[in-house]
Amino acid sequence: MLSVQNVHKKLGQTNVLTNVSFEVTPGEIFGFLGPNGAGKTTTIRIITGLMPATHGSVTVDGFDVSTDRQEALSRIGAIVENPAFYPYLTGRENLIHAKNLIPNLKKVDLNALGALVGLESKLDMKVKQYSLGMKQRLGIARALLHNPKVLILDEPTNGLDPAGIADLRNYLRHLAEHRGIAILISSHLLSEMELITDRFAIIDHGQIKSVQDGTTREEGVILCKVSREQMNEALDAAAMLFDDVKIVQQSAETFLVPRPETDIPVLLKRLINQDINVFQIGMKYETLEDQFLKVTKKEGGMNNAFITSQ
Amino acid sequence: MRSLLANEFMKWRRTIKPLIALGMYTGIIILTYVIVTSGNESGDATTFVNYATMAAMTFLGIFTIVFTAEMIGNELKFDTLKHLLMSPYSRDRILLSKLVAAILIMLAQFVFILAVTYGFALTLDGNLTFEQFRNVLLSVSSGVFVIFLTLMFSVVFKSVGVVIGFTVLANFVSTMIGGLLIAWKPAIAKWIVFLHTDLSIYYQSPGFMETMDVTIWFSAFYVLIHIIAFYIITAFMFRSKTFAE
Repeated sequence: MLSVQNVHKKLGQTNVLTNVSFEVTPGEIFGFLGPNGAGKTTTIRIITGLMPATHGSVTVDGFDVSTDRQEALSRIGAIVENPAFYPYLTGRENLIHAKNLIPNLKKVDLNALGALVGLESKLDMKVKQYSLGMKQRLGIARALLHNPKVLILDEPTNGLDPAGIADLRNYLRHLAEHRGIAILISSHLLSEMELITDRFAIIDHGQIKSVQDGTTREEGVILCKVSREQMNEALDAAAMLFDDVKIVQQSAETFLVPRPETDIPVLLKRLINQDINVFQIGMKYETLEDQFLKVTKKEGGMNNAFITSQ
Repeated sequence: MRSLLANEFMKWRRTIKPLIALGMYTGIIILTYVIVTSGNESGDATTFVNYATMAAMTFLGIFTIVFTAEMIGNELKFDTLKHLLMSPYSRDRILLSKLVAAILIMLAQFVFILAVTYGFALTLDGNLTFEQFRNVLLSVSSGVFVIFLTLMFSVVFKSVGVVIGFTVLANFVSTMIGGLLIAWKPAIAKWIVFLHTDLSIYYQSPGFMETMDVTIWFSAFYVLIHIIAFYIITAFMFRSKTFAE
């Protein structure tokens, strides 16, 4: 549905994007992660026709954004950077304005759209009276106004309270599954992205470092907690049992065994047989943040500011 | 295109400024009426229309600069320009819709001024001639010129205030220098476009233009060339700028 192929962007002498490629299929929620200045917004600006690519192509439903602009952009709904509105107009008037920007768009049920994002009773208020969360909701309503095939959301959870974030997550999942919309989300909130996305790309220094899916994320390790006094004994027992992997002591009481979940009973049995007190055992999965840090640190990524902000 | 124009009109009429503008036009016309009709010798309809339109057109020029500057300036101020530029409509169409809206808004205010002025004039003695009406109509040309100039400054500068300042400054300085040159070097003065923008001057102060040895057709053509050039520059910049922060 959305295809970004070998996109390159040069601003002056600086390569802002280098060979950025990924695809988002219908019904998929695709995350776009990266530290500040990595090239996320530039990529989104190119996809939405705000900025031309130096090389490469972006197609939406087969239509090239640069050569079939009208067809391609008619299929995109987007919030770029922040939801901006005319503050002196009401929410309804802002939606009418957005509707007028789409050629040949028939009548839109604005009340239904408002209800969909929880603003049904607030549509006739001026936007300057809206909270940031309400603006986010209105931005999503505006992006969905013309039933786009591709939805692009740049930091969509900014300003939303936890209940609002959960609602948004459910709603995006509903859109993807029932309407087959391809959704691209850029966000700094890795924990949120982990819950929402099916696949994600990590971008750093203008390059896609990794594109991963749910299967990749399922890889985990066995985490075991024992008493401090018996730690060395437990490490020896685990090492003897699994001599093909490296056992890692995580803390004074915990250690990690890079084996699948099916090996937990064997390990547990061995530890108990050696009279080791086991307080906790289970799988520890690599979080999105772990993967993000792993990928962006490989080349000495500039993600420190990003990490500390979490 | 109609939907884009509808957007521009909605954004214009939902601010307080159009009401202020209409209030000021009405106020200045009433003030002129009071001045013209007071005193021992009451003025006639012709005198009133001359003064009232002259005064109101000065305000129209100022409001035209403000409204046109805000058409792009406010989009940058509210960060809404990106939504316009993400629309399937081409940038050329979006710019054209703003230009057409600015001209129509200026003309609508002009019609309002005419209606109020002629409404009051009907209560006064004296005949209203076609020649006078023609002069008032011709003075609209300066408003059209100002729109093209302001729109060009709007794509160069981000701030509405700077755009208004530059437009007023360009108008003021050029007219002042042009006025001086007419006295000393009229052959050079005739190339200052700001001296040609108000075509009614050919009928109201013909001697002024005769000094420069130009005709109304020369002025009309010269102004036309400028507004075409302004629009080409504006369209080129609007098409090529990313307007990113």
